[in-house]
Amino acid sequence: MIEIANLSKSYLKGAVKAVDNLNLKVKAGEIFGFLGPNGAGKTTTIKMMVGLLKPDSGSITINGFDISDQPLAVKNSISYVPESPEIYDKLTGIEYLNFLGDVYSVPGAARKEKIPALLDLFGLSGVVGDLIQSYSHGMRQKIVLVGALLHEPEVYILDEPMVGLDPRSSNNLKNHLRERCDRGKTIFFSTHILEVAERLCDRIGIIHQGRLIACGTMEELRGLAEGKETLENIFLELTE
Amino acid sequence: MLKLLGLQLKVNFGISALRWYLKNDPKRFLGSVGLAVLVIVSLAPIFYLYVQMMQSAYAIAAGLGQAGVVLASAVVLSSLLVLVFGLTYVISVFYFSRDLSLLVPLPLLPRDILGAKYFVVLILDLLTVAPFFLPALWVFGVNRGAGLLYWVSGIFIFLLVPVVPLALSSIFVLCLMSLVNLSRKKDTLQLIGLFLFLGAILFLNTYLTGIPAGEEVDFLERILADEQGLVRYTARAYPPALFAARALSAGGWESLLNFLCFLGMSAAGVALLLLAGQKIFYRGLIGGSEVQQARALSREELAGKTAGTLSPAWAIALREIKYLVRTPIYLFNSLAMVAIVPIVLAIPLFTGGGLAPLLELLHTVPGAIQALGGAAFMGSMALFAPAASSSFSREGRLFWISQVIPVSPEQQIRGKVLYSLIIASFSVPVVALAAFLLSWSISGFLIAILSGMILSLPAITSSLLIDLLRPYLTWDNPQKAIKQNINVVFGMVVGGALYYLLYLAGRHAYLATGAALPLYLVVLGGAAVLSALCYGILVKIAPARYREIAI
Repeated sequence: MIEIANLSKSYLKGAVKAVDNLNLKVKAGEIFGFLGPNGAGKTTTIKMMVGLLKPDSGSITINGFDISDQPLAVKNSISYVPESPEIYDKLTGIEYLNFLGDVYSVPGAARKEKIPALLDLFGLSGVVGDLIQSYSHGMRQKIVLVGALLHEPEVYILDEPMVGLDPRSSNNLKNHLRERCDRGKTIFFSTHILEVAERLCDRIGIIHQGRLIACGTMEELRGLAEGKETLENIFLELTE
Repeated sequence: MLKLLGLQLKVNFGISALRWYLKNDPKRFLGSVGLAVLVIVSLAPIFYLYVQMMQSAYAIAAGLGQAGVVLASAVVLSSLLVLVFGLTYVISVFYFSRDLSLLVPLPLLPRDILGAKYFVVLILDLLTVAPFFLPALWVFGVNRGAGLLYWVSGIFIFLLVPVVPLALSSIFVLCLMSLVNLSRKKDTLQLIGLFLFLGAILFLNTYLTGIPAGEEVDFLERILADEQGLVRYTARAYPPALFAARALSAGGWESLLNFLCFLGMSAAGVALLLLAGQKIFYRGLIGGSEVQQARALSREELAGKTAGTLSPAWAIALREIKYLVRTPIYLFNSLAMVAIVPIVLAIPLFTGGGLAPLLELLHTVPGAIQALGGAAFMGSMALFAPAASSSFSREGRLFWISQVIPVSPEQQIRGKVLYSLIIASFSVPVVALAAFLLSWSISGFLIAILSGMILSLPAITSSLLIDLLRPYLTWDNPQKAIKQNINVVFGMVVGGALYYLLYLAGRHAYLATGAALPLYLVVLGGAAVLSALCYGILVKIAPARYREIAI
């Protein structure tokens, strides 16, 4: 479902290698956790996957479409949640969701059914008529998530989706993601919360200094770091 | 405060960023420098015409023995520009800069923050005033064979010219924002305040410089008899201009005395601003961005709001309109030019004159040409409103949304053209007023509106193209997206050049045939061809630009 081959990206004319020859495959119906220290290349990889950055070399195929050749087909196949919830603060919550409904061609009937349910899930029903300008950081994160879950793409690409969420919303999101995954959808997300990755993900990839240094199930990762049981200990040893 | 000022200058003028580019990315540094040179070169012909006009004005004024009026006019014009156009700079820098949330919690006095921000706007205003004031200083000095003292004091006067008008508009903004902050309808009140101020300045200016009806000959005799008559008359619109003009033209002790008066007024203006700032700056600032919560939507209301769907192009146009309406600075900048025309037309009605002479003159023009004039007015409003030339830039850091949504760049551009046409249509009421005053037929009015829409397209498409080539997305307050965006200037220069071509072609067609139809065909056909050309280039390069732009 997601196939990344020989992907590289550098800044300052090659002086800083943000992503270095990355190869990765994520299957349909899988939740894949993408971990790494700050500045390891997680967000750069994700930005290249959604078309916000142009790779120096390599290819990214999502749902069978190449991001360089068929960007619109890829964008129709994905939902993206950015690292920071910077969205249109002069629109109300409902106007923002309707805007996304229009650009993702979500029919009116589907919106009528899904928007109230998703707003209830994240506890936003009471404020959806307010300008986003008046939202707290957590509320912005929630409205971005509601927008991302509004249509039914094949692949969800989420950059630190749990940041700013209260425990209940975080739990609701995890359950919702698992539910979508069970329906055959693919979820690729980055996180610093290792417990979440350990409990939620089918497979985990660890990126360090632009290179994928480990990738597999929890069992496979334990095999890479001998004597280390928790993901935190494995992560610390591998990224030392 | 000096350290804070240094920091503000680095941030607002990109000094640190330029240094970084010079060291790490010389290509980008050269690009920025090259762009500045390109702006100067593209504005050079207009500047040359202005200098020539100043030279002619000097020759006439010197013939009357009142050459000082050249300097007084330049000071008055510069001051009015600062007073009117500085307003939105002030609101934006004082109240909507992103760094305010960092500065307010620091152990600084309100007047320190205000003072540092005031000097940032002052420098921006000096850049605005320079092309209007310096040519007058040059023409007067060169013609008089002025000495070193003239040039030194001329530079000081130049630096002081925006100080008082900027302090006045800043004090107005401080008062407006502290009042507005008490209300729920903050955005609406801000906008009303800005337009009231604009109207008051225009009205006061016309009232003070108006010549009493029926006494024109006596009035002119009195002015010409007095050695400083013209200077005094010009300075009625802005009295400190008299000190500035006399400081540069009188010579001896009188020059020094006038210079000290001008300096003293400037110091008093700044002191008054800092005093007012210490008292009321935070009243308008703290809680200013808070928004009153709306009543929660019921299930039925929510269902009603989610039922309708729009095409992507309309969704984008609607998003832009909502942003315009809810951002007073965008709305003021887009509507100011359209609003000025009815205000200027209304002034003679209040000051004893009338519109009769103007209407009599316009009635002598054939009806078809009048309608084309209405269309040209709409086109020029599309040219001067920064709707298209800042369209991509206004998205700022939110441009990522446009890059990830599954809507082709071409469809997004269609949405932006739609939005810009809607802004251009704001001038329809003015054309309707002209149609009423000049007794046009309904069909004449409709032809004018339709032609106006077609004539708006070259400005819209060329401006969109310019903004897409190099969008300014990293601004930290919305004013910068328009007022500190070089694309807006380029848009006006390029669009102006296209309109000049259409004017030449239309004039040629009319003189050759003497008929209105060929004129319409040439002008509107030319506008359609130019627009199609710009639109074609736009949609050709847009996919690559959307991929390449990294925020």
